[in-house]
Amino acid sequence: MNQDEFLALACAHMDEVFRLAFSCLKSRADAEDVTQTVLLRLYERNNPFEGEDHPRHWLIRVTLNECKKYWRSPWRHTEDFSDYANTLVFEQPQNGELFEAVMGLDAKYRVVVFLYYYEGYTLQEIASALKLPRATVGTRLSRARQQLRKILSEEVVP
Amino acid sequence: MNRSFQDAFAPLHAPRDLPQRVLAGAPVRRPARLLRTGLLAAALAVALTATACAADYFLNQREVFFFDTLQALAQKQADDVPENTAIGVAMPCPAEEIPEMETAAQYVARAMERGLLGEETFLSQTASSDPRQDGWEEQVVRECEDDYYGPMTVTYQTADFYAEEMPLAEPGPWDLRALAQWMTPQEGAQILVEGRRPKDDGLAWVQAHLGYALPEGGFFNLSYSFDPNTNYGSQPEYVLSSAYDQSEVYTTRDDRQALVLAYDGQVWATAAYGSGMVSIYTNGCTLEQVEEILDELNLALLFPL
Repeated sequence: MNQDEFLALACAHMDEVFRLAFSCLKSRADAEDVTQTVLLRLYERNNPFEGEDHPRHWLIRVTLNECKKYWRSPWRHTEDFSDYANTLVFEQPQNGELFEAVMGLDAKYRVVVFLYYYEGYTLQEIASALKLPRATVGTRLSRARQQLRKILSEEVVP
Repeated sequence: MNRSFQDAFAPLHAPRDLPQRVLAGAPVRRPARLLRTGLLAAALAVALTATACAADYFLNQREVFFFDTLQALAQKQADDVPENTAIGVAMPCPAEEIPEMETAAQYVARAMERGLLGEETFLSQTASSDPRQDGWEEQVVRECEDDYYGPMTVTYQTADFYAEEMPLAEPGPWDLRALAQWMTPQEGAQILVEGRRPKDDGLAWVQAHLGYALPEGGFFNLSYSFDPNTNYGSQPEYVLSSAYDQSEVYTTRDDRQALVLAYDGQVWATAAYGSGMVSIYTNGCTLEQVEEILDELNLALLFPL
């Protein structure tokens, strides 16, 4: 991939990659590391993408795989989530409440919630991305919704 | 996409200069020095650096290559590698630039408290009084559904006081006394983790991590991993990189080879055979001292050929 192509894709998608990595790892430093790794793999990719959505789906898949490695890896970065969360500026208070509520979920629920609500993936697409049975994904999403509804209004969590 | 969720995550941004950093770190392509097909990734330390990655490696070739950066090699392979085979590369950087990361003791505490595989269900916690366990005194057992290995029963053992022998199921007990002859085991920094399949109690994987303090400051971390799904071969080959101050393949007294790398007071060493791997990362030892330690580790017993 040439530099211009890389920069265009990186600028278009790196925030999305970072947000997915952060939702998985709950660490800004680890999420930055994963994002950098994913972008490097993007740059080194030789095969052309097919279709407009292919880069986004490829990046999501690579990000999830990189996050999986981190879950098994020793000596992850130490970081207080609140330290980073307190630096974020939300347009509306309820945005911050939703963010805190989602990040308060267990990791396996966070990933499903992020892919479903933020990325707009179907249950089948999530199952394929995470290599899980579709029923498992459905169960996790259902439980995540229950937990979120305890905290937030139904307007936010349909 | 749900608008509320979009707005909730909108304030999160990757560093703006990240693409430029990637380009700056990416190698210049030099066809004259390029690889052949089916390469190897070099073995690396488990410590994460500022440009981080890694903890997993694989080797599948029989030749030694020379590259300006290990990333050049690893990324060339990335597209050829099945998704579940991990490739790791660490770009060397000065020790003071390495962001704060878990100590061995913090890692052990995290693993004992929460497990390593994401969501695990706690089953039991016991204090072992089995004298054969020799210092491995606390044991926690959990079960989980791992995305890669399937249903798992995971046993976590720590050595409250330093254990002189690591009770590996395969190939057998590993004598660790040599490490304590001139280093001090860090408190709460020894852990042995085994994953087994509940249906037949078959061993799926092993990970062990030991942390030591050096007599004149600094630290020494040693990791051992075993995974029957992995095969490093009986004649591993390693990649040397000019990105490090020193880079060599060292042959131990008992005729096992290890890749040893040094940069800015840090030393990494890795030996991989069959389904097992030993990795070392230290800040405060010289390359020569690490090679002496490799001689004492009895790798031939750990990696019988």
